[in-house]
Amino acid sequence: MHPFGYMFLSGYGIFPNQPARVPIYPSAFSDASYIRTEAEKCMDEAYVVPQPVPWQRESPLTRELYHDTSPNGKNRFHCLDPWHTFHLGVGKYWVGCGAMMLQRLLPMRNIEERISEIGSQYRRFCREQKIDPVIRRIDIHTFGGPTDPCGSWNKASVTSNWMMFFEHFCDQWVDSIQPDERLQNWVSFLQVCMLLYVYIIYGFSYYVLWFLINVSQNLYCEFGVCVAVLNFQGLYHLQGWVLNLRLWLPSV
Amino acid sequence: MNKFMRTIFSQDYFLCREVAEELAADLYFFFRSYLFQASRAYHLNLRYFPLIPKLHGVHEIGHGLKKQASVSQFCINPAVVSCAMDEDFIGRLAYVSRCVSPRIQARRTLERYLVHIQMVWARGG
Repeated sequence: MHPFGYMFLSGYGIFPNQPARVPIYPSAFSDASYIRTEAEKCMDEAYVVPQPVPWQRESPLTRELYHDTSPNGKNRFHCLDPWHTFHLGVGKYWVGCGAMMLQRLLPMRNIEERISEIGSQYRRFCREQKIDPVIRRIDIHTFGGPTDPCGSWNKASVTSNWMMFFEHFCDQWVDSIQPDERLQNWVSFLQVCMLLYVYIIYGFSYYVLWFLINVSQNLYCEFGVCVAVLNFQGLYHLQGWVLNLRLWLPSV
Repeated sequence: MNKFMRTIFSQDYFLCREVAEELAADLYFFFRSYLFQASRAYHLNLRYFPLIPKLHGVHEIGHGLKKQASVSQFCINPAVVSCAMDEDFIGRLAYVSRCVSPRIQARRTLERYLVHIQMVWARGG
């Protein structure tokens, strides 16, 4: 029916003006510049424009029970579970990739020893907080390895424990994390108290840069486009742009 | 995300608009951070932070909160549709059912369930 799959709530993945099916979150990153804007457009339209129903035979739940009668109200009867959506989806990648980024801070000789140290700190943290660590053996395979990291557990509370542990870990290593832009971004998400500052200076300006690069398919965008976007986004993004250039130029 | 999870599980069924907007902002911040990390990883030729469909699920939850906050003073807490507690309940019952004789499984499971209920009741009261 929909070979690539699509979001049943908003119909994201089926674009109204596009006859060909577009996969939800395409694997080719060059196509991902429209992720956020298209997704939000679809989510807004889902309240006014009827979408194709995401089933072949309707469930008795929406046939018999009261439900929202606005467009796509039957779709919205089926809700997303925030706990599992995060902890067994994005969170496993977030924790796995974060562990691989943070292990470099530890002074041990090789990656196995550093992950082992993280594991022992995690167990100590769980003991102090009186929570069940659930996983007993923690090694490099727990995080899926250095090339393709992803949490290997299948219990959502483990992701929750690791998120709490990394919040604690990052507080301890704050001095080492500050100079690293990628780590700072990763940690700033955990420390949401820094939300405003990091969002303005780092988060959104990076997003603008990334968006421009993907739209133009080139690191160097046209001057007019840059000026228009920067004027629109304001002075803070100009500061972010300078910061980005400083970050990017060594890697060009 | 830690703050988001702590807040939704500590709040009541309805969230006031300010809290909902703050939670939506937290989720949006996560979404942008994830995209930033994915972008950096892609340009560094690392297979980190893949863009998986569940990322859109997180985006949907944040957008739903934002949408509700824009039209109402109160929003429904997303944790009310979380099935973690139901899953835990099923898990406990499944554990009880695995420890009984297969010949009278249904009866013994119900009896043991009643015993567990009595124990919890006695402990609580």
